[in-house]
Amino acid sequence: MIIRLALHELWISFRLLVLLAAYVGVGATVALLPGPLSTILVRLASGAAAAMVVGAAIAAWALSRERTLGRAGWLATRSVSRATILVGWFLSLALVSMLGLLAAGVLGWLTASASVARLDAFAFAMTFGAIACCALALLALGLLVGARLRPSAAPLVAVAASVAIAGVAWLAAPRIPNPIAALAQLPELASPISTAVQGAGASLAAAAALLLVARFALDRVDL
Amino acid sequence: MLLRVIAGLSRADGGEVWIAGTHDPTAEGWGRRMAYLGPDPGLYTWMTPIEALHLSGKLLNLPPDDTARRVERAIEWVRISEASASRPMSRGGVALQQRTGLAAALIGDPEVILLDEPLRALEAHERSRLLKLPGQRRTMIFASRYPASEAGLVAQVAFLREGRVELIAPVGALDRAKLPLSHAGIAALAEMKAAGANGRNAASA
Repeated sequence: MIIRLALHELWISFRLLVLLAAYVGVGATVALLPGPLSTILVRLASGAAAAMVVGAAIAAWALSRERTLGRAGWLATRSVSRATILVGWFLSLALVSMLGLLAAGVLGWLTASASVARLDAFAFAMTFGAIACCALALLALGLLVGARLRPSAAPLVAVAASVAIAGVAWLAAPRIPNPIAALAQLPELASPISTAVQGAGASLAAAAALLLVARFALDRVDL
Repeated sequence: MLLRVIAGLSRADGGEVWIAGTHDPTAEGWGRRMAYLGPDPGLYTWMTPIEALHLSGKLLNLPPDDTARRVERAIEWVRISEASASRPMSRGGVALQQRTGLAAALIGDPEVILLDEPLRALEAHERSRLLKLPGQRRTMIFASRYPASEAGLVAQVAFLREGRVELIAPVGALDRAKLPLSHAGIAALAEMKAAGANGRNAASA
């Protein structure tokens, strides 16, 4: 029920289209701009990272608006727990993001596989799966920010926090498994599947931890 | 703020809220026995009033047939026209949202209704009519910046200062003390009661 409400709210406020367009736009841009495989992968990786940051901003804005407009409060007074509201928004945003990422991945693969250099399809799919897990972590980060801040500040803080985390992860690669960096350097990686699995695991753990903190944050805020 | 704490929308600095012998605010506790209506109903304004009321019934786990009956009754009570009931609330203005908010609060047939500056967008006589709620065994608690506008609706007044209840008295006590039903009048009654209690304590000592 909350997922349907959240999806409808995203649709009616055009945020669903913005999020989908951010991901599909990455795939379309990569497909339309020809180049060598390494350039295609760098464009795909950096575009996916940018779309994930957009996702975090939309998540922060959406939850913050739900609080300040009193809608989360209305649901809470109808015996809907705050945790259910949070999970409902997370799942609806995750659904849209995964659809967008799937489209970007398919377009990216079609472009990359048409290049002269060979690319392992399974490694590409696994790395994109790990990127999807990263997207979930950034959505959770956005929801955490949205659980505390006002709509005017929440998206900006979510963008700043996401960029900072992405920057640190980029600089720390390969010591910290980073699926975005892995995608950009996919042909050179010695063990891409292992890197993808590690990156996915780390991202999912981060997503779970951030959601847990967001749940506590939402529990302590006025609705 | 106190009503928001009781409704579970704001967190108390300390203590627990006990209602009807339980401090469980979930649906299994007192969640469904109580309703809250604030100055802004917080409804999804892209919904029609009918959709919002059906959603309200669904969230309260009411059977669909029962929900349909209750929605019909509530729409009739708050006087939402057939045309307004089936178009998005965003097109109907704040008054329509407030009427729908009251109807949504009544859907679950709650025992306790918390009214925090409710229905301010409506005209005074219509507001009074709506707040004389149908049904038996209902307790309504108002929070109001304009107590005089609640005349005829309330049986008791309470005065809170710094988070503590200083006075709970029948409205008739204001009349007997020749005080108006206003913040100043209720505060003066609280002062008089406190002075009286201090005098009795001093005499017994």
